[in-house]
Amino acid sequence: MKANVAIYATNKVRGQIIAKTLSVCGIRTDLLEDPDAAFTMLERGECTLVIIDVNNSFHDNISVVRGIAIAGSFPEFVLVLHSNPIDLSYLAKTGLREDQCLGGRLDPEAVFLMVQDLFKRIKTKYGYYNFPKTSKILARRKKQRILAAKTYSHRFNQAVFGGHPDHIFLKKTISRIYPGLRLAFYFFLISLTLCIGLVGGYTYWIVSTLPDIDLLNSYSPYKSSKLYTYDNILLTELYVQRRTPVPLSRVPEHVKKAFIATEDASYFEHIGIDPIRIMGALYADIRAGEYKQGGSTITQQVAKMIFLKPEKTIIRKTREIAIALQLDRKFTKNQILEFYLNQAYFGSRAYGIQTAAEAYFGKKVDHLTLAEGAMLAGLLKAPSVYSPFQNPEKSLRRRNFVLKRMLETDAIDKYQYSLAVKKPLPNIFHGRVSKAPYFVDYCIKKLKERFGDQLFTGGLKIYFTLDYRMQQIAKEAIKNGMADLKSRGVTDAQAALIAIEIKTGKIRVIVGGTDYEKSQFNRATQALRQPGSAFKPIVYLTALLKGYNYDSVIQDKPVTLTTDEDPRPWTPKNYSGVYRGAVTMKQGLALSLNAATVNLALQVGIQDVVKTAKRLGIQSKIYPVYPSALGASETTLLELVSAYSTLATGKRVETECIDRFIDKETMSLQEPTGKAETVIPQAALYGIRTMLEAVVKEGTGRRALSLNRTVYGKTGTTNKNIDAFFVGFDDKFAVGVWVGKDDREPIGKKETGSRAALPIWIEFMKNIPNSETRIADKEKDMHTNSNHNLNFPFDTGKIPREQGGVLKVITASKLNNSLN
Amino acid sequence: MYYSNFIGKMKCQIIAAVEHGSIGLDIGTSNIVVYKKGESEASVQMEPNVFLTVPSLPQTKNILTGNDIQFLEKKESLYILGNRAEEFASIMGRRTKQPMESGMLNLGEDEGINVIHAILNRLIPSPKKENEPLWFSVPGKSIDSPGAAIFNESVFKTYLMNLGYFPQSINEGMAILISELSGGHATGIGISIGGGMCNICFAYLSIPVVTYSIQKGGDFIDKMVASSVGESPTKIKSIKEKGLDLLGKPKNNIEHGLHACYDNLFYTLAESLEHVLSTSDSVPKLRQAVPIILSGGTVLAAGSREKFASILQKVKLPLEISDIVLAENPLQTTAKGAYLMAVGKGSI
Repeated sequence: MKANVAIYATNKVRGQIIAKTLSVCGIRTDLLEDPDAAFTMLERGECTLVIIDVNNSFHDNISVVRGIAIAGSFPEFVLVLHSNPIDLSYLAKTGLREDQCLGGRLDPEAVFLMVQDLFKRIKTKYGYYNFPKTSKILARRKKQRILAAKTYSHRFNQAVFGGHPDHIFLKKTISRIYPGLRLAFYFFLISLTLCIGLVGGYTYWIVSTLPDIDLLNSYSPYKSSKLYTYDNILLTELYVQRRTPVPLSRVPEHVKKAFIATEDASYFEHIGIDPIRIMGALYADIRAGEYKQGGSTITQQVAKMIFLKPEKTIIRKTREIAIALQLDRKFTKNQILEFYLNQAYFGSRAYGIQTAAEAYFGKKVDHLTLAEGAMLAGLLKAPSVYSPFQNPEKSLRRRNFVLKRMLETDAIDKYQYSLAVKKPLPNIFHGRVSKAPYFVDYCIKKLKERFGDQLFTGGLKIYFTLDYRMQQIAKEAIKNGMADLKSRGVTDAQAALIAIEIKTGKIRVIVGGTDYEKSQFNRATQALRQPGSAFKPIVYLTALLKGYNYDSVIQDKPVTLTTDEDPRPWTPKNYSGVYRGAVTMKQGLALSLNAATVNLALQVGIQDVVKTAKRLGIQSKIYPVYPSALGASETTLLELVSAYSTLATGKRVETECIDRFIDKETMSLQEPTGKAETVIPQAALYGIRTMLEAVVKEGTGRRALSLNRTVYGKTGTTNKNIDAFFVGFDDKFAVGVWVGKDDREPIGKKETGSRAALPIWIEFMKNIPNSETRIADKEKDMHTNSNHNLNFPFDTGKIPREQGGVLKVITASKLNNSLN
Repeated sequence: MYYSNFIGKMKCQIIAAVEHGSIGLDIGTSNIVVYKKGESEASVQMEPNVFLTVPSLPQTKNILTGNDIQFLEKKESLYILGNRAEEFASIMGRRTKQPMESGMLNLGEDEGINVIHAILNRLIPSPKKENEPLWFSVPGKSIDSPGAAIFNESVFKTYLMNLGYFPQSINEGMAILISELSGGHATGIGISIGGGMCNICFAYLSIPVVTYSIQKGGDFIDKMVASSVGESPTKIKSIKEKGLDLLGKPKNNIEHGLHACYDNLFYTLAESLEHVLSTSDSVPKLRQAVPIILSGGTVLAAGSREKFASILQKVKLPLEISDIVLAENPLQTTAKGAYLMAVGKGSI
């Protein structure tokens, strides 16, 4: 019998506090970094309870939004902690129990007591701690329904028959009716008056508290936002509810008929409610002794889904009927059907018919077949029970039942029926796509600043600067590089790669690690590591900016930062152990001479080196101490590659990961474009390029000669081979590779930047041979062809890409097409 | 199983037989303290973190060498280190210099890092095997200049790694709690008031929930009083450490100044505690009061604890305080906490 708790907290320390409190009290806990993992544990019976600590992050943390969305499906097994009382109403809307949401300051004792209480509740209710499997949930729900029906039946008997369910009271009354006829007549009149008054009052109260159904005129359900590469490859979706609304015109007739035949055969005849059907359902329920048939029309279901809570009370039912009557009066049948199909939940986190078609069949709604439409129509009754992936037999029976209903209602003929029932069920689930996750993570942070909650609910289409083909090449190069390292006995190494288009600052590739599933930490953009010698070009550039040239002579002598008594603390030793005396600056950088570089830093002043780093765009703190000249101050790989991008042209361009996006509110396409600022004069630029070329031609980067084209770059290796870098560029891309270990242990003996990182860089550069023309051509193609596969229905090449900003207004109708 | 059983139990840690080679290190603005394995129990060594420069003349060198005084030669100067620097300063009527300032490396002193390395070389033996554990204390993020602490940590870590140790860092305030409270489930507030800064850590069940530092400490008091009464900070420091009683009435201008500056320091500390603890999302609601442990050289002045307690009453903390106690040995507590981590008797 397990009684574990899985915890997900947005604030790590808070999570630790909760976990430790519970574990000190004897409760086993698992502190997880992903809410999905917590719910997976719950579903597998590996824990009894999930705690989600949203703190103040309810609206701006995708993990929280996702977690809460799932939590709503398991309200009894979830405890939510939040700091903002306003969030409580949102949490309740998701289906979570308010009495299982703890607000205010984190109170470990209250959490513990609540957990204890919830354990008791769960154990009392289910007799065990484990999360009940689906079949058990169903059994429980069935039991609840029987109980509810019996209770209602009992109350009904009490009210009507004075507590005599066998109608004895009625029989006795009839036997005595004659002598008291007059009295009975008066009694009847008074009762009738009272009843009319009560019903009238009740009706008035219900109607006066109904929601404003005119809100449906601006019906805008939560929609998924979709993130694409610049060339239209879907990377992932962001959502609270995974949904893409579609107009009814895109739903095939046979699909509409499947829903109508199953859910509401007289849909086009009734007035929003179907009194005969309601009475029939009532009769069936009474006969069965349980709540068997709901009797709700499609219109009633729309009322329930959009305006009401999913509770089963007489008041709710009355309101549902009242709203359905109003809906039917104010909207056309097709409009209501469109609301219905876009709002309905189809299981597997798919909301709306379009997303359901994608999730279950991997196709657009337009292309659904009769059998597929019937299966989706059958799902609505109980999505998980009739899921083709969870219960294929039940799903098949249910689909065939739908087809049979269609046949009975003349929606299809026998021939269509006989073909459709033979079709197999789907066997592949098309879940959320997740490509280039490190890149997406990096961009989401920036998107959240711009869009806020709209990012998860607004149905945006956002195009990143990512080049997916290059991303795949990078992944492959890293995979091969890691395999090489492994063959040399190196384990647990990590790697990262970034590629930036020099001219525009657009980030084309981010690989933040070897395996996103295992570690989401982005080593390309988040990890602060010492760049080692990869920083040295900044020292040499400082000298060039002060009038030196690459042939200027500098001293490679170990005298500057050492003492006779204590040579250990700060001796800038050369890697080879050899000091060459007088060398040119070009040699100093090409051979990566530490002593020469520190000597040079002493001559130009470390403060000015720091200034140069800032000038190139490095934002991490570069400490004004001499070890910084050798790359002791930590930076991110992104900053480093961005700085090298500036070394390539002398122009600093802000890096950009968003290529363009469609803003539905303003009906416009927006396209941020970085502005270039010249920060290196021509003479110095020529000098640094010559020196970086020499690194490849005659220095530590000689391996790159195998590319057989001109490239520029610099190796970097930190003490004990803890970090290995190669950062460089050709005429199109600045590319950096880092190899190291997360625990900052040495990679391995002789695993320098040249040996561990450079081969990855070379493989990447080798496999993008036509890059110089490819991207330019593609962009030209994208913006000059009206029929491009982006489906952007705006016309040709008038977009002033060089100026940036809001570019073009397109019509709403066209935009709608492109948004779908 | 019951919640009330686990929180905040005061317990002094007895250091008995220790594992081979483990070291706890506290590199403070005023002193460097090393806790390490002795013959039967842990031994402690302390050296003032100061130096004195004298011109590099042959006769001076002879004198220093003849007296077995360690020095560092750099360009045209000799750097006398630690205790001996203070002795020489006293004899020569000069002031020592500090390689650290306000708890951080003093980047204004060119040889600061080398001086510290030289002192550490003397205090820390070479490891007998590779990757011997060594825990060293680091300041919390300064609310005055965040970021500086990272550089400090990085410099020392690199140096200690080069010595062959496996260095790991512990927040200074946390080290105090590990040292003075039960190592496993320490809940309380550890405050170290050293020469250069105050380090604060609130821990719950040994989780460092909030850590930060303010760059004010004993040196601030010395300098402020010195500038107001026209004396040298060294003299003020000497008076402060020898006879000051913060509970008694000030006898002269210097003591008046010292009382006022202690008040100022404690007010700053109390207000920062109120602000940081109240605004943190992570500080939990606790139904039981937690202790505050005071440590560091600046609280050695008599009456420090009472003075701080009275000032703390004027702010509103989100936690109830059960007691304010002085560490058993305020100058060594941090190193001891680091040492306990090194020998595996503490946990975070």
